[in-house]
Amino acid sequence: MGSHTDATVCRNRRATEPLDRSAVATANAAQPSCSSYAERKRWMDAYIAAGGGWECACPAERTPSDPAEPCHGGTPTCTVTSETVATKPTNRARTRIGVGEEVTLTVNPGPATWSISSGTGRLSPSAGQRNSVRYTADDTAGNVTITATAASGCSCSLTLEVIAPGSWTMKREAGTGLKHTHGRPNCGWYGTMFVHPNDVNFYNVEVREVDSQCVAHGSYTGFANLWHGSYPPPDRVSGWLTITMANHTDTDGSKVNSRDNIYTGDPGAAATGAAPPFTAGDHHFPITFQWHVGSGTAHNFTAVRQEAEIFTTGRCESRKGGNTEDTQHSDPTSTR
Amino acid sequence: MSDNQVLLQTARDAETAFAARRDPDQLTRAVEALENVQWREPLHLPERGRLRRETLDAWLHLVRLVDDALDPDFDPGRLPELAVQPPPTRDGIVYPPGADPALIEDPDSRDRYARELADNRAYAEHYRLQSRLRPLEERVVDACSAFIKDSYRGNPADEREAKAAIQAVIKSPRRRAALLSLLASPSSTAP
Repeated sequence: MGSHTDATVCRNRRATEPLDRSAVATANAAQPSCSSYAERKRWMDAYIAAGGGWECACPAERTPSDPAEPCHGGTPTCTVTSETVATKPTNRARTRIGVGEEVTLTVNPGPATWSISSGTGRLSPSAGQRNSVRYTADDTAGNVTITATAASGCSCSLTLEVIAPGSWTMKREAGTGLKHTHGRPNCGWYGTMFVHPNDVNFYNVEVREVDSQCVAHGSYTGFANLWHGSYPPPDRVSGWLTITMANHTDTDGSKVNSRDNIYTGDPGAAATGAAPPFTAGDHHFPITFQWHVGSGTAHNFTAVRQEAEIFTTGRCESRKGGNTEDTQHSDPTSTR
Repeated sequence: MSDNQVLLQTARDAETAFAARRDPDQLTRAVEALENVQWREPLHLPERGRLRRETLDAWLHLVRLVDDALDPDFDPGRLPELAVQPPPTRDGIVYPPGADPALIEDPDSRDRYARELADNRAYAEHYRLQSRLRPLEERVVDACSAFIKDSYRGNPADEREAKAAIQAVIKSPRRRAALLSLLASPSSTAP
């Protein structure tokens, strides 16, 4: 052991065995937790003051700001690496992540105390010395820097770029056909929604639709002001729809767990006529989807029209999220 | 109340909130609180032992809560529909999906459509909970397993304590067997 005998000089005091039970109780009352140097010092001060035995375990005079392994010229002597929890996209070392995404951070050499030195999000565990922690992004886009500080005082950081959902698109659901009634200008399809950009995974994002009312012209005039979802007032929003981590693809992005039932409707022969030339018409719903992370604030995507159009020739088009499907009135009746 | 007791209480509160409201965020809150408990911190050995046992109980109750909420018949491939197709009207008009049931004149058709809308909403909520629980199940069980291995494995007396707690709290035979298998010492058989 070191030669210090002055408790105010030694920087690495250790209680000697057996512990003095009375002094332990006094020290516990004075300082219940011991998660930092300052707390441990207060506990030992109280223990020694209460008569507890001690020895100096330090080989040399040292303070926490005078580390055993100097950070030469301020250069960090540790490294932080990251691995996304999501296995898709396949590059799990990426530092560009989606809002709500989780990343395992590891410091070498460890352990270290961890902190978010700029930006937002959560670390877990957030206390104590750890080799690895999990960072979870919140719903704020931007750079986040996480710092690991080793017991030696050396520190190192990693910066993550957090990306918010920017847009959504729709594709006809794989393996499904079109809905159509022979002789009528109508068209329907099942849509699958994808959230972008595609180089991050939005599995902790949920989306929902804000209800909207139909804007209609021509043969569709009878559809004017129809609600798109008839979602219950006062909020008039759909339920939240989830995204599954494993359903991400580099080509399409983050797939939403819902089947959108898209159909132009049919205003009836009294409005369109029974044969070509049909009375032309068009309608659209100004669709606003929202996203959030966990139970956080809802953020709007840019509004996108869901459109339907009847042409005099009997062609009918249905358009949503960048995808267009069409039928001719003469096509055979089909279901999806 | 010490920091560790505050964390344990946070976890218990979150578990209660999940049981009441089925909000999966509460499970994450509980996990993050329990991951921060530092049961080795107290120097007083009996207190340390109590804290470890309380932490184990909180982890096991969290696992059981997740087990109870999981629907074993959940089919992730059966997606909820965003809208439901209404039936045609007497005039041959077919409104787009999601239209107000009041537009349908025939009472039977209208009632059936209204029920389909309600059923679809309920199924969408069920799907949402189940799809969010799957990744949380993995996180909760992994974290609980890590705690058991780190805090109880190796010492026969410790392992007996953990085994007894697992057998008392965990109802699912499959889950119970998996957790017990983490404690492999033959001399630690629970009484």
